[in-house]
Amino acid sequence: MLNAIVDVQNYSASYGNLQVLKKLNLKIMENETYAILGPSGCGKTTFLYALAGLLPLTCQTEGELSHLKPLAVSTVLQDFGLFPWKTVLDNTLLPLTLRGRRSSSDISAAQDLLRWLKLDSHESHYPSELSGGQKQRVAIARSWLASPDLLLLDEPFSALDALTRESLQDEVLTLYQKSPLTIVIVTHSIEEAVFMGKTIILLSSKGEIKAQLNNPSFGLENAREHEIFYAQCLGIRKLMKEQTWEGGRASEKVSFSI
Amino acid sequence: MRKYPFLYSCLIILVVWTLANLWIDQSFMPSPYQTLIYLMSHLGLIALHLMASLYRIFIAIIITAVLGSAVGMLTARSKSVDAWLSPLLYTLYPIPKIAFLPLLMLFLGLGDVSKIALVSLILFFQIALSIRDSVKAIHPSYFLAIKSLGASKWQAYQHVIIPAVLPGLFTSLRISVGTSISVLFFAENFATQYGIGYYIMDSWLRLDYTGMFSGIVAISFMGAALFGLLDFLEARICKWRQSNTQII
Repeated sequence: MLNAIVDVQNYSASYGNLQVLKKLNLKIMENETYAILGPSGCGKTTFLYALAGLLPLTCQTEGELSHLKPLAVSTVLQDFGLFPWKTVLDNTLLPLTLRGRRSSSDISAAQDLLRWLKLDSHESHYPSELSGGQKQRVAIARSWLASPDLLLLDEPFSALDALTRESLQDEVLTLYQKSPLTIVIVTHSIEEAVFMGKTIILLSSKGEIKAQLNNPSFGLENAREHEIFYAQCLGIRKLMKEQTWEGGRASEKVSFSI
Repeated sequence: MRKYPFLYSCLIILVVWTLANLWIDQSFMPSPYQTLIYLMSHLGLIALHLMASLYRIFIAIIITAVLGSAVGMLTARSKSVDAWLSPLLYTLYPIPKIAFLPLLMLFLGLGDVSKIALVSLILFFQIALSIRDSVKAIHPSYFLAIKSLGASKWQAYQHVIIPAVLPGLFTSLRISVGTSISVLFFAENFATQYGIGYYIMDSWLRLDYTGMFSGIVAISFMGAALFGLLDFLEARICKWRQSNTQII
């Protein structure tokens, strides 16, 4: 039986008169992966920041968003969030440094992770010397080293080329399979959502949950080569394009077509 | 020439100076050769004066780097402090602090303290304002990133604010070196018999123009050495800035 770790009830968020999230209801279960998919400006990032406790003071919220147990949350930000004045190794170790931990075993854990992400030759380099994909790998290594219960990814691969993006998606999933944790990834790419999310949540441009879908293609070996993967992508594309849409009907329709 | 930029600039100055000396040919324009001979023969004495000035500059710069940075960071990070302090800084900054030298000497005595205080008063405002602006210019994404890692306020200073303003601090320290030398030159004309400013003015009043020019050469080397020290420290401390390649 899966345990819920975050409970979201009638949760709305707005900046002044601009409502970005509208009455969201959602339970986030332990060790599952969620992909939140929606058009630009639909409030995806706001929702992620709400989960991370990073909302700016100017954002007013209503309803409830509660962690059902103490959670270590780690966030990978859209612009990587690396500090240019810290080397790759220091950036990676930062979550531990902030907790006052930097023992030799912590350092070797960080080095192992960097080696696995093919960054070991860049340990003493600064972020300005890295490519976009390498920067994102450092950001992932950093958030992983914090050993979170809940990992939040904010459009983490959107600035990368297609092949780098795929290999990073693979790497995150491999890490997930090695040591399961709860992942919430925000993205505007349907393929990414279908590849990364066991549950896919569609947000409308008004910030409502349009549908919550189970994803049968999640975790299949070479998932991208399966027909079901493409059927899923196609179904979601249709659903997102649908203009007049009502309540739960469409979600039934999609699960039907898959 | 690329290898020895300092020697290269000395050479240019020597050429211009020699030409000026040939053209003007007066006792108040000694040749570089005469000046260097004089400098070498009076090295001990001039070094003593240089040390007195260097001591005052060092103390003033250290005091203002610490106080100015602290005030600048606080002003930038707190809206209420900003609302109170910025107008005060703006009002006090333009006041010609040199006019306060008699007051400072009255309260702090005729010795080093009043001179250090005068230089510090002048440096404080430029450092505080430039640090305030550098903190305000830090991109909000860095604060978001450090907050997402669960950092405390102090840790945000340690890992984001202080490293982010270091390059700006070095820039304002470089400006401070120039300012402090010229202010000190003025202050050392009063109630002291040590300091390179005193040495230059004293030589001038004694019509010892070669001595005066030796003092000028010494002050120039002192400035160059201070700038060199700052460049060295910046290269050691702000290592991440060297990796930026030149594009244009």
